[in-house]
Amino acid sequence: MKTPEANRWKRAARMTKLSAGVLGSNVGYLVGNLFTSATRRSVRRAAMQTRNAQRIRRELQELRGPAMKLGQVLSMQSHLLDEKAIEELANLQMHAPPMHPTLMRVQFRKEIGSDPEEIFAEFEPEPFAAASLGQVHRAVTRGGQRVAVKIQYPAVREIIEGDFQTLSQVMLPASIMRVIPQSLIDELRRGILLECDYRNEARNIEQFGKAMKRLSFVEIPNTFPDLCTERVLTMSFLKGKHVDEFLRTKPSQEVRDRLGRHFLELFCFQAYRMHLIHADPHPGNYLLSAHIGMVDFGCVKKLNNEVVQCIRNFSLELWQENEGVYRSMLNTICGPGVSPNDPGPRRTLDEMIRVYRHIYRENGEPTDFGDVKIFQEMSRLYKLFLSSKFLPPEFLFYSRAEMGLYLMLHRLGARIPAYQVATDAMKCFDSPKGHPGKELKS
Amino acid sequence: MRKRVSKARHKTTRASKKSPSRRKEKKEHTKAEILGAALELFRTKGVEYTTAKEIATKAGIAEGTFFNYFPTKEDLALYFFEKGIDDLIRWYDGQQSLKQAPIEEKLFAIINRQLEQLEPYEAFIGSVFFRSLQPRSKLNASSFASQENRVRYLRFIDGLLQEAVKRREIPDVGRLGSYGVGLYYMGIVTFWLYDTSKDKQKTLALLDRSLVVATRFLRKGGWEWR
Repeated sequence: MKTPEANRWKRAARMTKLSAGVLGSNVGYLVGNLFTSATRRSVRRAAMQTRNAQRIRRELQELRGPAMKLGQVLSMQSHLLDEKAIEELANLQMHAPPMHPTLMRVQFRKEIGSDPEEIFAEFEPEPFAAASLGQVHRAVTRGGQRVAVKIQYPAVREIIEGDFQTLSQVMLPASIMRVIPQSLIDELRRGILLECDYRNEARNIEQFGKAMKRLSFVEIPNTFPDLCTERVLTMSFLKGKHVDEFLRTKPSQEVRDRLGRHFLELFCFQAYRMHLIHADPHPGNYLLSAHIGMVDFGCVKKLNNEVVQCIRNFSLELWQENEGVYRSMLNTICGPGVSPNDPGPRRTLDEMIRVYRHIYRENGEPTDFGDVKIFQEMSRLYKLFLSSKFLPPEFLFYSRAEMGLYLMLHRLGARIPAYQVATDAMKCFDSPKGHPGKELKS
Repeated sequence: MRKRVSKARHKTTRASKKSPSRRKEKKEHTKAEILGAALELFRTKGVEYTTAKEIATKAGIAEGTFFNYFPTKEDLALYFFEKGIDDLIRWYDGQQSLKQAPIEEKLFAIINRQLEQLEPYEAFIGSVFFRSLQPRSKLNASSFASQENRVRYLRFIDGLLQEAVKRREIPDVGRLGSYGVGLYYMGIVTFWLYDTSKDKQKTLALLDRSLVVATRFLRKGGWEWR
């Protein structure tokens, strides 16, 4: 019976209560270190206790709207929280409290015009998954196709707008101090609001589906345009298991390596070929089998060509010969205003080079992503980026997606020659029809 | 439309000579015709721009007849609510799966159904709703004219609550429960009238959310002093 609380003040009180303790750092993370290290210390302390972690999850779950979204993002940020807390927050992804059947039907009817039972040949009134802004039901169309029907919670858009209003009020002093660029908050707000319109997601699915026909190892659902509206999204049902469930079937190292490789290729394809990034890469959005099934296309970010080119050149280590590449990367991470001789930003970038070289080994030696140290190093680097005051929003989404990739590789415990896979993928995606599978033996 | 009405009238005029129950039936039929015409006009033209004459013409009756049936707009509203309750009770009777649901879902479904009834006539409801707060209005909760509707509604809700008592979902709170639900409904309608969000999504969220509190209240059995 829990819908997002429409009462803004109550939510504000709740959010403040949380932010004082824990959520602060989370919100802070998202908007680029709004609350500084003082709260982070308290975050650590708070998150150490399992009980606390559970409380966070319960609170976030109750709020169910965007705060839940924040929780999901937080659960990917392993560097902020300990294992227990991550586990709790990961639960959030799959176990939000459902709408009761009557409310679900009302939401569906308001959009489609009749009850789901009248539209579909079969329809399960119990949702099988919770999305951050809605819940997903299994159904079978009159044509006999198995589908997933995503139905949004009531008043999600209104609540998010309210939350952001609250957020910007709370943050006013911070923005005066120019700690967080307004552009970042706006970007975030825009992104989440776009996610409220499932028609936008349907368009993303179509776009991804078309582009990814090239990748034989990826599965993208089909949409059913007649049954896709602002608050209802109907798409074909993908088989596969969430990563934890998948790992419980004890897949062999070989299988995990192959999947890991595919994840890396998938990331390269999105970033360097499509220039579009699935920017909500929490593990719940991937269904694993022999293929990688992708679901939840609510948050898709278009990357600017220049940024992509810059990151690409940099990843191909052109910076070694070319100071210009180095400088343009500096500008991408730290904003255009940065002086190339400023030691701070240079340190960030040098640290980045160090970490990347450790992960992307030129000698073709496989990297063990299951190694905690590698993951921790990556997280530390990521944190370093986020402490950059002028981080462009675009880069935020890029790193979020990249971090999602490493989290997935870490969970899979994949061992892959990352440098080779990435550079091969980048090169073969440059040609309009190249396919990484052709070069790979798998 | 008009033709059909006059035909029906023709038939029943002859019939009315035969039995008083037929006469009553005919009267009821005309009232329903008038209400239908009025609501249609309210919806398409707006409440302010609809005259009694237009309603009468549309319903295929004389303007005088119209005033015989409904001396004021409030009488029309009372009749509208009466029909609404009829519809609600009939609808609930047909909802077999809902009858097994927990009390909060039932209340949600019922109140939502009522809101759906009101939805096409929001402007009309808005215009009579605030008048109903005046003590002398026929729509006022304490007015004689509105008692019948009120009692029927309360009895219906009471029946629901008694069902829940039988199923040991809630303790017996007596009549207080149905009064409480009635008041709660009025509150929701007020919010609904002010709700400018698309598809009244905010009302839906409020309803869902506040029902959690309301049923918690019911489960506890109300206040200490009961």
